[in-house]
Amino acid sequence: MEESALTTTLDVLTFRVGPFLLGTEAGPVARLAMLNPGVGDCAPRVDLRRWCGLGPAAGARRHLLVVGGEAGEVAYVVDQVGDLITVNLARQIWPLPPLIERHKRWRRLWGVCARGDELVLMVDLVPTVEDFQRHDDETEETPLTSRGKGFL
Amino acid sequence: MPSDPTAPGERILEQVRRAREERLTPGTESVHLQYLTVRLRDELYALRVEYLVELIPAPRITRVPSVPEHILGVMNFRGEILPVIDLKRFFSLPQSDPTADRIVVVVKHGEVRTGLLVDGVGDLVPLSPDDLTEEPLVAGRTQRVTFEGVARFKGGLVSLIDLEGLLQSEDLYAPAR
Repeated sequence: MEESALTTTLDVLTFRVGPFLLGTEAGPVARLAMLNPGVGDCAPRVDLRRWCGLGPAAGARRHLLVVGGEAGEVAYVVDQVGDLITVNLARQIWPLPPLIERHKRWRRLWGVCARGDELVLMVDLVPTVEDFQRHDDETEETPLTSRGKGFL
Repeated sequence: MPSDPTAPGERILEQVRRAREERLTPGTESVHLQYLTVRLRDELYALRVEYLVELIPAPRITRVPSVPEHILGVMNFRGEILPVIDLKRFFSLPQSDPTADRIVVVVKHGEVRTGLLVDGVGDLVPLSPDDLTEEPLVAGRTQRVTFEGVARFKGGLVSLIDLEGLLQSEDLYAPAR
């Protein structure tokens, strides 16, 4: 039986970066880990504080959120991992308001979902082949261009 | 559903409803336009009531990364996600006590609703072109497109915000300078 659009749900993993409460589709999240600067990881790392316009984190224990895509995996560094929530697509997820959509400098920001009386900003963290191809182009503003710049 | 007379802004919204009804009544046309005064710090501003949707105590506002600081974030307004603009930041005014109770004025232009964060709301006042003065506008980076002028009010001055101009202003989308 086909699922009704009214009852379709999405699993969302929430996380915090500085003051921002963000969420991403849980399916592509391969694993979670504590950030250990002394231990290498095969996946390139992207510090989301940078993409939120924030300075480096001061002394706090941080987390890795490893997300897989067609091109491979990327380990996103976040301040705090939150909850796994299930939201109704028809009632609990909205597109960004036009003012935000028009202005956003982080193109992966795509919507808003409700968690209780809080709002969570939805971000698409699935890496694409294009992201990896852009890796060497320092003029492109994608998260993966940050790889190797030593911001971690 | 009957409105709650004790709800924030209800007294003013009732006046707004009456003013709109009068505008629709033949024979009551006037050169006066209705404005709602709002306070930003100690300065008085006014918005045309025709854009006004609702006044609400500032709800939880979710911050959005990498947007200009005058875009405070988004809020849930009865199942609709609205951007909230901090008018003090937009007009480059100093911030006041962050713990003070503030009001979000929900306005509508076209089909788009937007929340405007202000320090307080005041009276509903009728103003006509005769009330405008030659006083200079307040210092602000967007004054040419976001103000209709300055009017005398209760022995002082009130800056009339051109809401349509403000909401269409490219400055709204530009990083703070």
